[in-house]
Amino acid sequence: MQWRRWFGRGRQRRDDRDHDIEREIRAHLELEAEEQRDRGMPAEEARYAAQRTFGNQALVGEDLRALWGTPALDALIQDLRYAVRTIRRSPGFAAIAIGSSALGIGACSIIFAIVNAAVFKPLPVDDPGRLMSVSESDRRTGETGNELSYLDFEDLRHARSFEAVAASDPLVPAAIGGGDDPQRHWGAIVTANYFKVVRPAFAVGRPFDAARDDKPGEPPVVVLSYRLWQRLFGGDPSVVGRPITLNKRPVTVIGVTAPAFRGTDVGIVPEFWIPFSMIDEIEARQGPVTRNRERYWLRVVGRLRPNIDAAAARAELEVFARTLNASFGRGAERGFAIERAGQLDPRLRNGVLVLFSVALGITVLVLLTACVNVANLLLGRASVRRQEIATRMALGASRARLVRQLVTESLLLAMGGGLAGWLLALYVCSFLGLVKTPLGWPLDLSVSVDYRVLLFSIGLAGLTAMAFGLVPALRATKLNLIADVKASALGAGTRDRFGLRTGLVVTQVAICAVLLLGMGLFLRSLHATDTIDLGLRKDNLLLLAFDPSLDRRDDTQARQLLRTVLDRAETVSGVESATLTTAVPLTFIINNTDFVADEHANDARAPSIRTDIYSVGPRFFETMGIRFVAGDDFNPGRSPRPDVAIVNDAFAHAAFGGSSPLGRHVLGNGRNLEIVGLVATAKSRTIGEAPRPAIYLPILQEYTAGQSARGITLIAKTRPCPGPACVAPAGSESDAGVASVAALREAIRSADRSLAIFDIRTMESHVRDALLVPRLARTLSAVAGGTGLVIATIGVYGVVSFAVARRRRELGVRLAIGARPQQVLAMVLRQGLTLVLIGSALGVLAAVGLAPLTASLLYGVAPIDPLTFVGVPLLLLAVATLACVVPARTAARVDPVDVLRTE
Amino acid sequence: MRTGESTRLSLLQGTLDMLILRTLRARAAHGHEIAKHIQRTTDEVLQVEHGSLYPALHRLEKKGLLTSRWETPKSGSREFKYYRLTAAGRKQLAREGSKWKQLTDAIARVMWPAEEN
Repeated sequence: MQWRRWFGRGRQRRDDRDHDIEREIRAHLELEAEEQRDRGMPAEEARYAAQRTFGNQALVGEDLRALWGTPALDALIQDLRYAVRTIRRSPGFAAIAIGSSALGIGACSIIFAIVNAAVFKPLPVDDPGRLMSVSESDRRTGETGNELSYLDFEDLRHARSFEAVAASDPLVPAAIGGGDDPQRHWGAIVTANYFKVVRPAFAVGRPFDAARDDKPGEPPVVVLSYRLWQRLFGGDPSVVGRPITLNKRPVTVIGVTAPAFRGTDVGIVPEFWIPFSMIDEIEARQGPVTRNRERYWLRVVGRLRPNIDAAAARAELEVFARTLNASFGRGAERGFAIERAGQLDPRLRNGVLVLFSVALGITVLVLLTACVNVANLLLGRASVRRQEIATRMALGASRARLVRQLVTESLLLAMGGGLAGWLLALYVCSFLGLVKTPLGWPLDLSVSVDYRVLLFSIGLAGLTAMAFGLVPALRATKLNLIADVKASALGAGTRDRFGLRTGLVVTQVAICAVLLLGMGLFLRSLHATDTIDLGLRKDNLLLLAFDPSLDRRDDTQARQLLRTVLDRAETVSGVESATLTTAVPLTFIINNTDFVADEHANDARAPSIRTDIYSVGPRFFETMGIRFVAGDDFNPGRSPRPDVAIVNDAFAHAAFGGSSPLGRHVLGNGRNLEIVGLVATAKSRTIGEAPRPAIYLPILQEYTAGQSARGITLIAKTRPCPGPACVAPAGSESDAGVASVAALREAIRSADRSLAIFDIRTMESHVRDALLVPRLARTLSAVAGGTGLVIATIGVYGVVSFAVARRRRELGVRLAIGARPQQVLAMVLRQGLTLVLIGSALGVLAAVGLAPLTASLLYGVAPIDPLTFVGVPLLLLAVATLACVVPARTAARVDPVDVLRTE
Repeated sequence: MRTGESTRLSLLQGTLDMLILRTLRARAAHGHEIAKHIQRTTDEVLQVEHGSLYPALHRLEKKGLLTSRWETPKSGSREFKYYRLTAAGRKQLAREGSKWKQLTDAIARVMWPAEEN
């Protein structure tokens, strides 16, 4: 080991030096003594005389050593060696200190890593500081981050603040790979100058040709992401110039971006980029998107001119917005917002902020308890080491030197903790990329733990060491020398009883109480979600998605395809019923629009009902287990009536009050729909939501491309499994599912071989993914609460047993003059538990104050849940009692004779 | 040591360095020899506490004005650490010496103006 040799060399050098100094002084003394003897002095006396003439030998030696020891390095090495030795002497202490600070620092580092990835890390492009994102803002609500229309973007090209602006739609699905087994991937359609504006590095090939690739009719080209290039072609550079199949047509690969480039929108990672010359890929599904000024779909980035700053650009865009609003008869509410590109979508920021504040709050609390524990342990040790420290001071060590020594020790511990914490962050963050959302969008939550995070961890460790090592160090060295050297052998007095350590333990218990209360709430909430009636079947459902709009099919062909798929799926053996839907319930985001009852259409006060829209196949409700209340399901056998809909109870209630909706009409989405059926209300977007109005339209009659960018999901109800042997693990295609999944895939693919099938899962795993947020909150809070409890228990135990150790004499006297052991036991317990009670009370109060913050993350549990708020303090008290009993029993067993004899 | 208190002068700050350098000008010497030499040549007026000599020696060595080596003197059997002037040490001695001369001359002119004239 390098460091050991380095350490060793310093030590060797110093040992030589010490030896040399000692030898020189000895030679001097011997010679002087000889001379005195020669003058006739007795040997003994001569030696003393020599020493007298010499002066203070030890001091001279010390001076010489101090002179030679290269102070900074040698002293540091010395301190470190001493610290390592001290720490190694008490490995238990070290493990607790390092372990608890690792947990605290690790938790904070994870949060920092996420913030770092979302906020601090610039886009991996050339000169990222000048790359701005331009979005539309609503002056009334202050909302920014909205997409622009193509025509607005065209106008924006004239803005003089920018060298150039480029537009993109980063959520374009496509079936790539061709042949017999295409895969669905998400990519972006971009203006051909996109790469010229953004300037990412390319692994191979070239970006789009800005002059040509915007024009329809140019030969189609594609730029691949590094990841897709690796996956499809194993990183073969000769793929440049070759065609691949994209939505059934040959497209030439012209380049591959560098691995670091993940698009310009945080979280959305395109796998490929196609130029605007291929706009028909979009328009086939969404109609003429480039000629409609009211169609907002583009994200815009612009590169500032060298001498223009963001404020100047903002001013220009302000004027711009006014002109646009005036010339197109818009209200004054539309504006443009401009900010550094590559930041989190402003529309998501608030939600993310809440989640992160809670997470950060929890992690900081964990860090605090951990630090308090370390500080407490250090204080405890400082008291134990009183004698050592007093002796060293008596021998002439300066206070600064000792403080430095003690701080070095805590710094070493904290650095260990910081490093372990960073590793923890590294480990946990490697899982973030695997988090699945039920959205079906290419969300990438992976977070890289880079050098900034390491610096953060180390910095935090240094800070905690300073904050929590310095106070104990200063206290430890503020000694009454005489008293301590004499008294320490007997155990000093009890003046520390209500001092700093007690305060720290109370704080610790309070923090622990807050953490445990949080854990209790989230656990109860998650438990509540298990018992929430979804209004849906969860078991025996298989989900497979495909997208008939990808191959630029017309709607008639697409409807025919859906019919074929459905027919074939229903004949698959083991399938009891099958259906189709544009949206699977519990998907967070579902297309929606405002409806109003036809009879109230002219009433300005009539409520417009925000309604989730599902286009579903026949037997959807039967398959999904949604209860049919009245009316008829869509029937494929009968000739379809146009403009019919089925609504849920929540919708009927909102539109028609208590009366039956059947046969009545509603207006919305530019249509007049007759209600033919009524179903029970099922959960639509999230598990915790209040009953949400929903309307169901017949997909086989009305499917149009662009109804769902996430494709169509085939849902099949399979026959219940006869035994436990065939319970398939979540999302896997094994066991029970396997026969059906393969057959269902075949049912879809036999209808058209070019269809890409994706998002194959069971309803159970889909529901589990839908519980992402509460599950994350639960995991985080459970880890934090458990850690906090362990840390606080150690803290309480430490303080109480330390107090007992110091009061041995007093306890001995009490026992000697007639106190019964039980009384001593009770006394110690009482004192320990008083701390815990005060701490818990403070914790509960703090938690009540914090409760409103957590309300939005809880399902089916009040933020001040009585069971939690009673149960948690009791649990804490029980654990703390255990922590106190051990030292209390030691106290009761103190042998008075033994104690008094040592006096 | 046997001389009376009043006739002993403690060394001015910094002068010890100069005396050491001066002592070593002629030849190398070990610590004990240097101490004895200073005592002897000043008629025991200047009392050097032997111990205080070593920090000065080591400081000078660290500054590069002296070098040291363990050697056995011709007469004895024991090894001693001998100090020698370096070139830098010689230069330093010349500089310090002339400075000291100026200083004492100046002080003498103030203290005993009559004698000067």
